[in-house]
Amino acid sequence: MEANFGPFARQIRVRLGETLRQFCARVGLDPAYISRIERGLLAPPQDQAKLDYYAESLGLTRDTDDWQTFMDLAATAAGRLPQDALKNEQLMACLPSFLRSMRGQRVSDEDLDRLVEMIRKGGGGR
Amino acid sequence: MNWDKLIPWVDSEIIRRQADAFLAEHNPEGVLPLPIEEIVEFRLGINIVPLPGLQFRIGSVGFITSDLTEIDVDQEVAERYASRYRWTIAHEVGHLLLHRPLYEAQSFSTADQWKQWVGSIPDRLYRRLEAQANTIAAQMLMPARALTDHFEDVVSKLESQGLDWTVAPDMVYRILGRTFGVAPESIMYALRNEGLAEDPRANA
Repeated sequence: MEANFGPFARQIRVRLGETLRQFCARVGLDPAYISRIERGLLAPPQDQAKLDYYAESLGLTRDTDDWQTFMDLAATAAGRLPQDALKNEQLMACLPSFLRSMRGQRVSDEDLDRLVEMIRKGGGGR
Repeated sequence: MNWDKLIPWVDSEIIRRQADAFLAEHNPEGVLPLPIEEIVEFRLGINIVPLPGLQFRIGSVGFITSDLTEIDVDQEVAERYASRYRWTIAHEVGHLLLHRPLYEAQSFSTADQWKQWVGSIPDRLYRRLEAQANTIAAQMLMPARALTDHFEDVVSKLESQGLDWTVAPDMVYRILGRTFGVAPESIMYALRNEGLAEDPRANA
């Protein structure tokens, strides 16, 4: 079993047989938001009603082990402050080795800088 | 850096065989459209990360991260442009399958070094990278055998109603585009590449 909330939530979603996009489209959640939760970049919702909705959307049933684990991990995650920017090593892993522009052209230096900032601030990567 | 060794020219037939091997492993029943999103998330264990503003701000639709664990895709494309989204994912899987030596050779530990690395890949080899990934993406999404079968089926149905497909090729491309989950233009190029059909407008 996953020991952190995000990977556990992802595991449950995958078990449900839904991709991130399919899951979010069905339950009306923002895929970028859920993706960041699943990757541990954001803490899970602290509002109990929202957390319940997330659990129910994942097909979890109250009074089951999975429901309890989901809530326990959420409570644990709430005590941790997500880092506000990626560490350098993480950032390097999240960057592409090469980048395709829409027309297959090379991406400018300025755009590469923008991408680094986007990812550093948690827009992508983990 | 010996870029030509890292990004060698590969015969398109070899690339197509790699695509066929991928399909045999991950889509043995030949489901259409290829469930590329499910294969990537569930079978390859790669996260597909929606990245808001990637296209608007950077001009890129998607990329696979250098550690090969995530495919980042522009969020708007992911939500609104299904065929481009699917093509982007297949294209990035193509890089994963074809260009591992390049990922293994990369060496950067700061953002400046990364920019230098990205900028040092020669243009002609950059184009080769993209062309190879497009070739494998096309074969994964529109396998030649299935494309032939479905094309002949559509043409045959039209003929049975006294219609010549060459009069309305766009309709055929649209029908096949829905079947394979790609843009009609992709079908047009694939049919042309397979020698299955020449767009009647090509000689106009």
